[in-house]
Amino acid sequence: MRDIDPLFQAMSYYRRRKFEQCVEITSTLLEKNPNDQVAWLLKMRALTEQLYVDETEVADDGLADMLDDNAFHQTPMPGTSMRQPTANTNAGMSGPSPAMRPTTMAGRPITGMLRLNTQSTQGGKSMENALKTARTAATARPVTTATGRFVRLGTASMLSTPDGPFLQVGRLNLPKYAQNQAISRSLFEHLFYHANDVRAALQLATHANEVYQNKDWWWLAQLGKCYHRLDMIRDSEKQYVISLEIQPMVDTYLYLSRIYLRLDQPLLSITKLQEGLEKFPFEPCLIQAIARIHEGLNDMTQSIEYYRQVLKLDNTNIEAIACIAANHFYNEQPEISLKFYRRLLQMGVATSAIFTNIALCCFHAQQYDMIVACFLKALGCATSDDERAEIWYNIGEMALYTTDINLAIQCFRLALVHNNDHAEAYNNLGLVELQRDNNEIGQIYLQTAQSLAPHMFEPYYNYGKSMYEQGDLQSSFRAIKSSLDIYKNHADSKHIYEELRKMFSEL
Amino acid sequence: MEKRKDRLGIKQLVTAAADLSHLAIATTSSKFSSSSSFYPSAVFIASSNPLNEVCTLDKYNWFLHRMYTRGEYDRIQQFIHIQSHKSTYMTYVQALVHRQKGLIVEALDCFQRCAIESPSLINIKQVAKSLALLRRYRLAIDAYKEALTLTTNDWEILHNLGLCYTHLNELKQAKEYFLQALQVTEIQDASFLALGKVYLLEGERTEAEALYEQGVRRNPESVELYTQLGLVAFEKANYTKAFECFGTALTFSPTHTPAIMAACQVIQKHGDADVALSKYRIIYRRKPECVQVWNNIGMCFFSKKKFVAAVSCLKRANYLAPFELYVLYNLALVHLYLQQNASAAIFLESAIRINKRHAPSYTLLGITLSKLNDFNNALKSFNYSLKIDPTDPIALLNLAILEANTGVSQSKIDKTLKQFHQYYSQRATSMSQYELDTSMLDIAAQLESQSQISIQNNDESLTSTFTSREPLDNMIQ
Repeated sequence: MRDIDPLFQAMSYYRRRKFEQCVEITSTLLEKNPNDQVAWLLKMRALTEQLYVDETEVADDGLADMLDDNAFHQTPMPGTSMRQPTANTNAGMSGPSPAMRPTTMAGRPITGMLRLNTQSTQGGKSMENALKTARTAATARPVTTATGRFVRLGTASMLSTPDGPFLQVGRLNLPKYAQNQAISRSLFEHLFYHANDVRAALQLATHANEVYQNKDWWWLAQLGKCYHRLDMIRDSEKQYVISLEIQPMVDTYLYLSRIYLRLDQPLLSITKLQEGLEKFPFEPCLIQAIARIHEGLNDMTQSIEYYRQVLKLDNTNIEAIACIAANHFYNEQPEISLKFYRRLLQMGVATSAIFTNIALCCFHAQQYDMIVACFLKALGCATSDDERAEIWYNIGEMALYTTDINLAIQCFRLALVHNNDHAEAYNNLGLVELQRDNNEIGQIYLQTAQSLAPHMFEPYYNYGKSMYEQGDLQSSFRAIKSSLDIYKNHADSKHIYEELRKMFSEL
Repeated sequence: MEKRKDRLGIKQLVTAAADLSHLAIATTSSKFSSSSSFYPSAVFIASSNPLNEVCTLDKYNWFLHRMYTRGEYDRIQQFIHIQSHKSTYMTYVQALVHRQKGLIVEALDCFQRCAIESPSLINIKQVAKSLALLRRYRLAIDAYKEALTLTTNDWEILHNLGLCYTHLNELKQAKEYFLQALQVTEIQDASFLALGKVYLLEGERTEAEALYEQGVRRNPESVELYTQLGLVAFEKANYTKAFECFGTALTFSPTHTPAIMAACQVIQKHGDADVALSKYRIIYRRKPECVQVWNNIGMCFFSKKKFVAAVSCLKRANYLAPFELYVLYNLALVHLYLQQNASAAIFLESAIRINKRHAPSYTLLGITLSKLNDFNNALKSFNYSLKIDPTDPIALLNLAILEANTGVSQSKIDKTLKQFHQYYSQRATSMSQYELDTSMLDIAAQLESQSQISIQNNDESLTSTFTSREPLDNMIQ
């Protein structure tokens, strides 16, 4: 039997997304004939595809980004900024209160799904706050800026081509390539994603734009992307807008919305996405982006509304299902939440988190027979220590609700074995010890929790209250004040605060 | 804008003060543009350096006082920091500022310095107060006693001495001092409240009530006193009086949370759930995470037969405070009504784990177990409940029902029922008619007439604790 034509086979591999084999074959082809443009192009595209990331989901902002003054207003009107989502932060009435729904480091209600930009102190309150955030193993903002991931990608490209880089970027004659429409786009993507040389990519894009006289939407959008990566936000915005005038595209709308988020203008961002929706009324990505922004603004009802729309268009959207489920769970409807999680399970998302959530829903819906099985499954599925810690923590939580204190203590200890920075576990351990009248041990646990999680008001409040009961008013006052800093409307903290104030100001 | 004005006012004052100093000492006329609020105080030093007389030192006391009353603590600190010589009053104000900021140790330090410099009554009192705030009650008592040597009829000293003794759990001395304090003046409701609390701690309810009555007569506008009086009356099941007291308290302060809570309690006892719900809405606005409110709302819904709402309210209460016995008990009760016996049993188990000597939980557990057809354990549970509280007619009646259903001989049932009637009548005389369910008598009569009845249970709808007893919050995943 005769061999298949190697070029044809390489193309076939490429189509089947077997990029490594594709690169292998094209490399041999290029060794035979270094001027084989087809093989060269194919190899370039295969290498790019290996490292392709969805640019609409760009990574977390780094700590250094906090320093930048791109935000439009330093003291924004309430409700118009991610930094200060509502006029009265942590409003107990409209948004979910932190006592009912735990918050992330950024002081936002926990979302249903872990995605980029939900874990970090994104849009955090202030520089000081971000710096204060404890550096535990799994938390907080990366110290360096975006480079972390991109450098990693760069080195990854080294790995994939062990005998030096595929292209000598410095030696490329960019103006010449810009002329060639067939090659230039692939080359751009290669430079942008694989070689991670944004400057060269930008040069290429600029040349190409000259060739097309700023009439090609694709090149304009790419230019915008380069500027975005180089943090030239305003330039980037301009390019995207022009690109959209020529040709509306979903991606470009998403890029533009990200730009506005970077400028801390969530409402404008939503407007742009809605414009996009007028052109593409059945595009779940756009709706999902709107839902996420509403979530960031602590507007859960709106957010869920949009997630529901996403589900109508795409009824297997994991993020939408997870977020709706989480919302139902925290709104005391564990049965409905259970339905959504079951759906996720049916779709084949069998992670430990899903099993844990199902177990919790079962517990709150009083279907006790399922709980143990679910937790066992979850522990079986867990791949990392963090996950195991979370599962044990939740088992402990359940023990707490059945007031089985000894079991609770054991579970929280296990959680701490797996993740020594689990602030919630420390808090609850402290609480349990206080319950058993081991005040000193309890207070130490609470203090540990405070230092690990400055975003939670519970350890502060519990500590303050226990100190208040023992009569150490000075410590109590300090703790209660911190608690109120985090959660302004906590009625119980306010009560103790007022009492203390009264005592201190009496002559 | 207001802040701006404020500062302007200060500036004028400062200029005026500086002018004064110019007149007094006639130093060289240093020109100052009052651009910063700092600058004038620099002038003060320059001018006050040459003469450290008393008159110049105490000259700015009014200024310090004004700053303190306006709450400009930072400026006070700056001002004092710049002064080369510190007068006693400055130290005193500094200490006050420290205390306002919650730094009691520093405040104590300053007050002690004041007391050493001029051992006046005020300074000693402040030292004592700081010590008390730092939980060093013995030392505080010594200091207050020293202050008592300077004066005899200072209400504050006597009252605080009483408080210190209360904290040390030496109630006898505490009572003495409170009584002395009340002899000095009767217009301070704090002493009445504290003394009443001591009486309640010692279990002398009648004395406490008399005291509150007296307090109310002298302080007819004290919301707390009325609330306390109402609560005492409530405990004695004198609901009309309690309601009157809460009503008076609420006319003076319509948003006093404990009073609203207590008033709702009375309304709920009368079975007027709708009114109570509307009142709870007010409290919910102010304290959205209050467990007691959620619990009571849940029980309101329960009495309106809206079980799903009741369960979700009670669940929320349980979510906020997993260690609250009454929430668990009520949850079990509602689930029992909903025929979800297994859930009820689990809630009851949790409740029993919190308080192993809570007789009603055992009774309810007995009913639940008998519904789950576990008669042996049900019997055990009833017996345990009766061991803890042998006078509970509800437990006795349910035990009789269980006995009837398991085919125990009639003589034994009759014995149980005899006990039941005995304690029932006992209780009926001691309590007003709201507390006891008269339908119990009918069931008892049925049992006596040997007619076979279906298992019927008799639940009391128990409402919860009130007052401002806050449970600790805890974290949920």
